[in-house]
Amino acid sequence: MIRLAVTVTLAAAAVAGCRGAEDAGNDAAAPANAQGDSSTGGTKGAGTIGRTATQTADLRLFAQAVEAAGLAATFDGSISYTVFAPVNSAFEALPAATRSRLMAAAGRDQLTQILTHHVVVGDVTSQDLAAAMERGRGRATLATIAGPNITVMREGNGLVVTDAAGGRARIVQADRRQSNGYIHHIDAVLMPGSGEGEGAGGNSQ
Amino acid sequence: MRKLILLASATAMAVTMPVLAEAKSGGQGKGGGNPHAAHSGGGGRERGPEARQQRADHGGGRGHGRGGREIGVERGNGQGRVERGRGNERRVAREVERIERRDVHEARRIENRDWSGWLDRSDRRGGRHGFADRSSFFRDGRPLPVRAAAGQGCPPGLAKQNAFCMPPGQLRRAQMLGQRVDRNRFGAVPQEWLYRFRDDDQFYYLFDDDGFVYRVDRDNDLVSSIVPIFSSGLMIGEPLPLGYDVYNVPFAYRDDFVDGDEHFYRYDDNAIYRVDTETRLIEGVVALLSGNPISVGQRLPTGYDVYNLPSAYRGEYTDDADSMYRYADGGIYQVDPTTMLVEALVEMIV
Repeated sequence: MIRLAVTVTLAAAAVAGCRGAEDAGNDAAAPANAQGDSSTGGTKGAGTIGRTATQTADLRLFAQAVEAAGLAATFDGSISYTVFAPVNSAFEALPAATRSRLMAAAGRDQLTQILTHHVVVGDVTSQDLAAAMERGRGRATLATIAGPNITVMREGNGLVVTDAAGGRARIVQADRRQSNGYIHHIDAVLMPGSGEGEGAGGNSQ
Repeated sequence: MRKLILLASATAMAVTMPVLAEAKSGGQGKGGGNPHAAHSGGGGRERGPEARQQRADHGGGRGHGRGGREIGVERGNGQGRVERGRGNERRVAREVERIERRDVHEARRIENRDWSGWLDRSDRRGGRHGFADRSSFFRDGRPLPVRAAAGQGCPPGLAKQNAFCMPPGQLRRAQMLGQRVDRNRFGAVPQEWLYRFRDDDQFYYLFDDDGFVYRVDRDNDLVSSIVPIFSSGLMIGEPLPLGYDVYNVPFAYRDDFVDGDEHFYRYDDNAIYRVDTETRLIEGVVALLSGNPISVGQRLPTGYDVYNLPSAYRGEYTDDADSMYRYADGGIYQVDPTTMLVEALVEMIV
């Protein structure tokens, strides 16, 4: 979705955010936990992605960003998405000026581009990721709504998502099943980079 | 002394402006007349109190952005100074009157300008890149002279800027319609856009650094149209641009997103947008489509390594040695795991 127009500043910010993520230790969710292992207890009575995000303290900034980008209705609908949702500390790792710019009306296009780089169509569980990594020699590639792909790999006991700019984020809580998809918490903001395909930015690690 | 007068007059204007606005009701929507507020549904109802407050705050919106009232209110000391004597009061009254006359004159000048270019739907080369359709903020081809636009959903930030619900830069640009421009301030249209904006016998085209093309009439050298070429797609909070009159939601989503009395839907750039029927403002995105769609008969695009079927369909379609299944944009596709060719669209589920 939408043209790519992410600045070097933003990509750098993603790296900065991810650096903090790598310090977070190996508390990433184990990928083998079963699909449907939901924090909300399965789809019965589960909220939507949007509602759950607004009600989850650690996704407060993500929910605000979704609202600012005008995507709230999307995640409250019935169409299935899987969202790799950055936790508050991931957004806080961005430079304050960058955050302000993104949250302003003038930054909506960029914000949308960034947020949709965290979204893939359908339901994707950690079990699905594990199965795909097994087939794909340790890597699973997912097309995001924004266009560029993200790649998921195992690292230690957890899963790491690499964005199109080469930044990395660790999945810190997986498989929050919702009525319209799944939420995986990640500890850094993903950036769509400046070109198609993963690792385009080449500024990882 | 001049400062004193201006401050006092500004304070006085804060009181007199709403009254003036009320008195100017009728005609071209003067005085806060909002043809949509009374009967708007959905978002209109939600915005009702805010809109009313904005009208109350701004007294009809005429003369917004001048800052006079704000200065007076902020300093809050004009009234005390006015009490120094009746001479001052008379001077203040005269000043208020003068400013009011200037304000009315300015409002009429803008209202009476030929805005037809702004609403020009006939520019066949404008297409989807043509100017935003701000018809909700216009009546009889002229802009509503008051902040009526705010009542129709103008974002509060913009509502504070001017009466036309436009960013200041955009308004300045819009006001160049029908004007002569200094050609030295402009450059040539970029090569890649010449297919759309090539000089001809009737018009020539100028280009500014902000990405706008100005179409100038050769007969009189007046700007007849301004087209933003770098801004494509739909912008949330902005009016729906030209070129989206036709319902274009992908078929898979048509049952879910049907045009109605309060909202209608348009598709663009991998997203389905909801638009307020009354205001034509784009309210938000209701569905995102994949950035890398699947097509039958083609190789499965990259990015579909992972089984991603919605939970309700997983029992029915499971990957095995002969087939794998992937979901995208409302459809479940069957893929040959050996060739990775997409063999069939087996079910539409939206």
